[in-house]
Amino acid sequence: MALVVIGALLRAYYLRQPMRYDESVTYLYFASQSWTDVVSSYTYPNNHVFHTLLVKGCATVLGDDPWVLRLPAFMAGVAMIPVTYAVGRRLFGSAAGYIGAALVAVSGALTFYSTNARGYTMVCLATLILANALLRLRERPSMAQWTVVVLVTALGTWTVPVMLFPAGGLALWFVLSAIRDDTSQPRSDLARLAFAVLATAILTVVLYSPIVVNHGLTALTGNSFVRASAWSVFFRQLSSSIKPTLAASTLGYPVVISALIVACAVVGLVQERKTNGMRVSMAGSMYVWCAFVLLATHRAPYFRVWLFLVAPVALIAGHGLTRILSRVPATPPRFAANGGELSVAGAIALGLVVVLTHGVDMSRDTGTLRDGERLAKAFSRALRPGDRVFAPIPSNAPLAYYFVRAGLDTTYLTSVPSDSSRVYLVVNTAEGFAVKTGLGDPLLARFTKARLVVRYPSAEVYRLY
Amino acid sequence: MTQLDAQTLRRWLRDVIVRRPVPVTVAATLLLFGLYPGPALIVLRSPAWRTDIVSNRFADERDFWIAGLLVIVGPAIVFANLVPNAFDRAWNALRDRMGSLRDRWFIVGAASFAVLAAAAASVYVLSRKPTTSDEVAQLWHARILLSGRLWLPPDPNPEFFAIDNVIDRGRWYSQFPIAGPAVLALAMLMHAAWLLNPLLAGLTVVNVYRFASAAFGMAAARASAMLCATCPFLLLMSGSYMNHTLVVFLTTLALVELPAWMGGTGRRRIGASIVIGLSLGFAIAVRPLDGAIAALAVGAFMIYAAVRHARVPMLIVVLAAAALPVAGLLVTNLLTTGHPLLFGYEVLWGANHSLGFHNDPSGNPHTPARALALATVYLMQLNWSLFEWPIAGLLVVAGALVIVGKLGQWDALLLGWIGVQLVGYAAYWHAGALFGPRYLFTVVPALLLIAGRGLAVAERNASPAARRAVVAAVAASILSSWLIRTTPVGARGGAEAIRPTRLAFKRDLDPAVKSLHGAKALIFISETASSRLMRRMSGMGISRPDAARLMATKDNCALLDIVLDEEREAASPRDRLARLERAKSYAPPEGWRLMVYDVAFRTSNRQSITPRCRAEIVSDDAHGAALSYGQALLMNEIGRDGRLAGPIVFAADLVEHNEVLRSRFGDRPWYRLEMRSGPGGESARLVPYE
Repeated sequence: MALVVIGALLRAYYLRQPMRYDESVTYLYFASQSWTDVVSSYTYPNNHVFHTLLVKGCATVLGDDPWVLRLPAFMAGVAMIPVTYAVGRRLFGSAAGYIGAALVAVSGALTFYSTNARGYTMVCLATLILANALLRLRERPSMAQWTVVVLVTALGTWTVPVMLFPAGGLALWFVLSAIRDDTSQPRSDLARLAFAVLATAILTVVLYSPIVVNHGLTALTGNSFVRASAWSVFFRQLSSSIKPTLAASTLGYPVVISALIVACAVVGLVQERKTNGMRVSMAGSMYVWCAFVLLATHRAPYFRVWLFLVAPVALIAGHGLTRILSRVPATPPRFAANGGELSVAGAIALGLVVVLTHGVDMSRDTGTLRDGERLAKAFSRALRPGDRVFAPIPSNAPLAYYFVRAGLDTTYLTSVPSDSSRVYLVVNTAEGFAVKTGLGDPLLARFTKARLVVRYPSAEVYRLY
Repeated sequence: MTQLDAQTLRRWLRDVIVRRPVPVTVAATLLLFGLYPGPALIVLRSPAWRTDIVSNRFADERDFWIAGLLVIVGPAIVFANLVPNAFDRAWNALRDRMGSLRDRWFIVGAASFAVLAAAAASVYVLSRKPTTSDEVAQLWHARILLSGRLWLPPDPNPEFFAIDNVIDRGRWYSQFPIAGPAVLALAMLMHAAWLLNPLLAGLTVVNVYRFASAAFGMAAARASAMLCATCPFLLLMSGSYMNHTLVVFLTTLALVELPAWMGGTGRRRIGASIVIGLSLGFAIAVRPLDGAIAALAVGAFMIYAAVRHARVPMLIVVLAAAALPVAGLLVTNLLTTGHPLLFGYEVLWGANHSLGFHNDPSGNPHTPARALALATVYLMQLNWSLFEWPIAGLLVVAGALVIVGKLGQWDALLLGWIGVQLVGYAAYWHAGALFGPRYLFTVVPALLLIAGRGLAVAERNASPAARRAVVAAVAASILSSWLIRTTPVGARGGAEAIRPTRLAFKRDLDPAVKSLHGAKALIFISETASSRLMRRMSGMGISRPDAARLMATKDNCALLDIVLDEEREAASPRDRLARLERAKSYAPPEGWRLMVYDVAFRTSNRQSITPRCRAEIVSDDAHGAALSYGQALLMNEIGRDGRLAGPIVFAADLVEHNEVLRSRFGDRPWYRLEMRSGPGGESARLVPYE
């Protein structure tokens, strides 16, 4: 409970951070539209349909404040903490479960995505619930648990199709476990799993059918974010993504702490099956499946696609830490047997580290315009009909969101300026832009001079002539 | 880390490092120089190498190894250990089935695969055409030999018929030692020159198998033969007309006979001595340095064995056998260059062509530092050219060395040979690269033998989990490399990347020629501006090394202007060279590059481009895609008098200078052969000369 409170407080601390690009698009293009549009529109893969529905529900009831739009992701992020413990206890015992839950509670990466109105923490939660259900099904068959498997997988996939990674990995683990006689009723379990996969597939197809009817299947399988790259590009992107992925997954932690967590995870991985007695490694199965999907699609994904791995890695690290502590003679037996107190203390300390390093709020992941709200307020006083504000990606969507909140017409951001228009340029300095940055917008070609109007910590506004 | 794991790790480290100092040292040296940090420190940071094709390829391959480890090799290893019983059953069944296959059938299968794969590389990747000037030169020399001569009398207008690596002053023949062109001539007689190297590749696989089975046992033999038959470097090189494959066949043939020479009966030993001597002697007659290095390595081994086992008389038989082909080489040298110890290389390029630290023929110094860089570059390339797996090749070889542990006499021989070859060619100024480090090509079988032996030992002695890891990693690597088109890396991807390159050599000229129906014609082949400039200088009597040096160091437009002026008036080559030396140097500002069809044409800046130079550059675009004169030269017929003959004569296009041929070939219609785009793609067409 203490860990849930710590995790919730940490996430709540960031719940009101300025809106970012991706989540603004989610709201403007999907959640603010009609219910029908939410379930049938896929102009961008940005629509995490089930999550968007929940966002729309929240916004309908509570308004369009950033914290409201982030409520579904926040709730999923907080719910991950106890579910992580439940999975960890089944896999490695109570102590590892506590440590894993503590790491999840104060993970900078999970905190970030729990306070970002996107569906990734819902996929993480679905992964943990699915793992828990399959672990229970390994021990004994249960119609209720199979129902959970089907529903959670389908809803996870309906949220973000990347659910294919964890769901496939866990299914592979279950299949291999059954093949190696490591489930209670191997042959029947295989048949049940096959049925569950079929049911999940049918349910997923039904859930996505409005989008398929509206945009065709390629909107899901062939959009520019999932289309296969050339092999050389894939290899280059994959190899160069390792460092940023490691950095993003340990967001907010100093290198020493990250290295300690990785070291614990390595020990936990080596010791994985020696402790839990399972014949098939769940981590190994996940890895093999994910690699297979990567190879088949040869498209290097963003870090956030791997976010579902943070909780499992936290559990493995927790397991590793308990194994290390059990070998240290000075460790009080209480700590080794039950890591609850250790976990709470560690979570508080790590939570403070995450806050003090400003890793979460200063992260540029998914695009920022930190002074978007102030800009919108300033523009609401200054703009008059016919004016135009140029705000290139990633400034445009957050600015549009705050324009809507400020009651400003968003056509100020899209109209074609006339000769009498006053034209402003928002330069997002925090994202590395400068007034001389080439933007490639032909409408900007006729302007040759720029005068600084106002400067904010993360952005500057110029009047163009 | 638990105590158990710590103990295991300590035991493993002790077993690997303390008890195996020599293999660990050799493995570490290979990795330090060839993988990390050698390439980063010596090559990639150096301005001289930063933009080199090898450096770019290294970056691609590094990504392939990292990504391949993550999504190909790693998952295969993990999967094998997720289902250990099933994997072991499948592997044991496969191994038993392969084991039940008779050796003869196994080796026939492996060799046939190598022949077919090399032939496929020749047809699909290289269009069955010679794609380097080395190949063209040797094929031309083979044509000369088939005309019944060692050399041809020089043509009165050599600049129209010159190609790199062919001597055309005094006597007309290639710079290459006689045995390579002679063997090519035999293959030409059978109208199967393109099949020669594929067949030799297959025979090399047989040699590797036979040596390994005698030296290391059956399992190592099969693993080595499999690695050899799937070695992309061997297969691609064997798809070409290069003489490297012949040398590899000959040197591995010598290896095959060594075990018999060491332990056979008296008669068998004599036979082995003769084969070893002849093989090494022929290797010297094909590629003297490669042959000499192999002879040095094998010879040192044999001398040691002969002294130890009192078999000195057998050495004399070996020497006598080796003397025959070497004597043939020396005699042909005498008949062509005028001195038995003077090779065509030095006739063409001067004394600076030789081994050692001195200026190269273009005047650039070859220093020990550059030699170190060359050795590193060669080792770097082994990482991909040996296997094209998603694992660095040197990592496989180094791992094999460590796994093998205690090195025997055969390992020492193979490692010594590799070492001498590396040092020997590092001391040679030219940076040879073709499908890999071509100057290490001769020792590729030695590297594959070490790798194959390591795999066999690992499969036999490693723990079950480690054995599964090795088998799964190798299987996944071979399958992914050969089945997935991961251009430009991987065996298939590498071949696909090479296919669209060197198109100027791969054009099909036959349809255009056949359209003449045997009528007399003089056909000009339009090359690029830089090639024409080289020829113009050659026509003025400037030597090949001087011309190459001027092209590399002078602003090509400035050079062209002087050459065009010189062509108008008579002067001695010496005076002309002195004036050419005064041309403006090539000194482009940082980042400047002339964006023209011919990237080899170097100008310092826009101001250098004079009207005459502009016309020369523009004419490249006017004639369509580039053609190489090399294959056209090979279509020329040689008359009984040793002069170019036949109804159709092919000459390089030197624009206004072509008129000097009017007196010789004015009796026939003149054409230009140009590549033109049509509905069916680009094709060669004859355009009446204007």
